[in-house]
Amino acid sequence: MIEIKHLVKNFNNYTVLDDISIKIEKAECVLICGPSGVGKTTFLRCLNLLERPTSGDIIFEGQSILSPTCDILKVRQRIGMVCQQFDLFTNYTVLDNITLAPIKLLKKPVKEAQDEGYDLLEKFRIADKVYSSPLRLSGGQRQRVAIIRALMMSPAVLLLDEPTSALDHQMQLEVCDIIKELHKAGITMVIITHDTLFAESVATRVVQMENGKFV
Amino acid sequence: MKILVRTKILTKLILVLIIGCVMGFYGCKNKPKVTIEALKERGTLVVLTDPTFYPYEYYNRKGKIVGIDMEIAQLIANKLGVDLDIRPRSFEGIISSLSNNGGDIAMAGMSLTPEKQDTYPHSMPYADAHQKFLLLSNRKDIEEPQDLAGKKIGAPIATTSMTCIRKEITNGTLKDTNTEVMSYGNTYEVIQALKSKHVDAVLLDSDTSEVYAKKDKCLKVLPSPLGEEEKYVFFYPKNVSDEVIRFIDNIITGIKVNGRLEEFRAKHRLVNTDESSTAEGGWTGFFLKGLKNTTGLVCISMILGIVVGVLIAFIRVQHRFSGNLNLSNKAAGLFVQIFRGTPLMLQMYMFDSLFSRFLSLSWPAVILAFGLNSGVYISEILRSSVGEVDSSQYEAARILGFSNNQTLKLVILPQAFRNSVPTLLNEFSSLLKDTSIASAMGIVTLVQPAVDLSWATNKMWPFCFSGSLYFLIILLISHTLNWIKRWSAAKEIRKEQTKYVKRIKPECNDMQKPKELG
Ligand SMILES: Nc1ncnc2c1ncn2[C@@H]1O[C@H](COP(=O)(O)OP(=O)(O)OP(=O)(O)O)[C@@H](O)[C@H]1O
Ligand SMILES: [Mg+2]
Repeated sequence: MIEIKHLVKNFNNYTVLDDISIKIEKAECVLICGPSGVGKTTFLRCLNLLERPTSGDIIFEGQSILSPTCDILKVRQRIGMVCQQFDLFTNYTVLDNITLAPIKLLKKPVKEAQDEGYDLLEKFRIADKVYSSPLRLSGGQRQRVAIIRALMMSPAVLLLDEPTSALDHQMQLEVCDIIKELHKAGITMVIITHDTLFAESVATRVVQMENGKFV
Repeated sequence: MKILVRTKILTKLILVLIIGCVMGFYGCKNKPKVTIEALKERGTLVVLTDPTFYPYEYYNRKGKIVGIDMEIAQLIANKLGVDLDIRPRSFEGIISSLSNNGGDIAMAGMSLTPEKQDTYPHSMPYADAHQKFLLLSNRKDIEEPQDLAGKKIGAPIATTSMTCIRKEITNGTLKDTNTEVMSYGNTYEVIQALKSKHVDAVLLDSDTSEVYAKKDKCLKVLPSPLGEEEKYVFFYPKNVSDEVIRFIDNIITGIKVNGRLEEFRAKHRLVNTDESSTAEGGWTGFFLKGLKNTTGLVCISMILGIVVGVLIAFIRVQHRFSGNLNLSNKAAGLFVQIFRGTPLMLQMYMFDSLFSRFLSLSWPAVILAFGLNSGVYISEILRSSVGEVDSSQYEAARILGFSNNQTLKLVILPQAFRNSVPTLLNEFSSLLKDTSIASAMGIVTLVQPAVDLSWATNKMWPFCFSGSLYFLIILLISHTLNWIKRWSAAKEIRKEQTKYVKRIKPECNDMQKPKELG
């Protein structure tokens, strides 16, 4: 599904990613672990070109996303991502946050998108916040909304950067269950986490990152 | 790096100079001769005047410009069989308009001075005047002009009164006496300064001094005049034809002989004194006109400002985002710098002299100057509030696959607008207050009626009244803006609520007590 070939990323001569090659198959769930500041987030950001790699290549669904002919916006629609700081749009309500992209980009009918969104909100137990401003949510609630926002695009690949960091244990279990479910549904996933829970239950592969390389 | 910056500044400078020159050249060419035939063909006689000069030209209670000069103007227009088009200007503005072909004749109680005599064609004298001091009635210590040695004397700027007093100080009765001269914008201001005791006496043309003294018991005229006798004439632009000068000179001789001129003088001195002491109800019209002009000017310039501001901000933000629109961005940047770096007053005069070739109104110039000026500021406000939006918001939109334009439209601009509301409100309130300088183009705002009425009644309340009207307008603007802000925030919510209200069942709410809060 995604093949990364000799990926190198430098920030002003400071090498963060040093010749990384990895092949992620369809429906795999890859866990990336490693110490803080090692370049995990940077690696994930390269996968949808939020950072431009210094060299190397990334093949997504048989096509290089670095080639100028590739429509990166379309690719990003197919690759969902939840950032570490899960930034919700502060000018929209929770419901609008999660339905904005499906309505505007996938041209889903408003009603359909809202129904779908509401179901997900119910599943994540924050349906009562459907009209709240994201600024009035707790950290854990925001994280859940951010995950829902990514899921709403029905992505082929989901990149999660520490998706459970702001959640309590109970909620971590629930997110874990949801990820399991998504995994069963055939979504390819790359998850950065320190959570052993994932390693035990959903991961098909766990890679350790050190000094800009997978070990 | 330094050299690069310098060359950039240099190119900008050169560009500004080129623009200035082009406009200047445009100003020089294309001046058709003013002939009787041309006037008749056009159907209007454009008269330039400064309506703060009793009894020659002033606003009456209904905000209409009347006076001795205006009576003569009407007479000339009637004789020509054309309409009269009176364009109020500040006294300095009249001269610049005249040199720009902004009018056919300047009728503003102007004295014939050696400098002007050489520069502009003029009519024969139609009135003569002395310069006389006006002072507070209780000043017993001053009886002759010489008594004013070492005192403070006020006079309106760019008038013969000013020239006269200066001459007297450098080379006349008041020589070497440390007498201080203060200049003011117009007659009202100078009288106000006298009444507030900022100056000991003011020097005005004798007619004006006498009318003011008659109107107001607190004021008196010093009987002995200062300097030599002056002759009032009308001035023409340089391209006037001799037949026009002769035609108008004939009319002047006519009214001098048949007594009409004396009638006009009597009428306007009388009307003044009577009206100010009688019904104050007539002032409502003047205030209403001021209110109408002020609100109109503010609203239209605000709308124009928003349109221009959004356009410029869009170009500049778009450029920062995607790197295209390079040329437009440079042009917009230059435009902003020019308008931010030059006085509003100057812009107003410039537009006016540009427009006066084909338009008889001063409104468009004033609105354009105000609108563009505030547009420039609004664009900067919007631009900086776009910069204030957290970069993570861009990122979140990019992650979902939004294009630059969509990100801007859906996420960044709405947030930027909300951030900018307080600063926008600031801009609008200073726009409102700045409208008072439109009086330089002869537009009655809320300031003149207050000054006028306060002077006539010798009371404070007109200022307070006018002030509270300004306050009300800004209150209205601020409420509207805040309403728009709340409305834009609530729009989505209201829309969805009607659709979703059925689905939120009470039991959902029970089982969904969030753990983080509970
Ligand atoms: N835009 C940037 N410019 C310069 N350096 C950067 C930039 N982004 C990240 N870095 C550096 O790259 C290194 C890796 O950062 P990254 O965010 O990928 O770490 P991480 O593995 O995700 O850490 P954590 O577990 O704390 O989230 C860090 O040393 C960081 O300082
Ligand atoms: Mg990280």
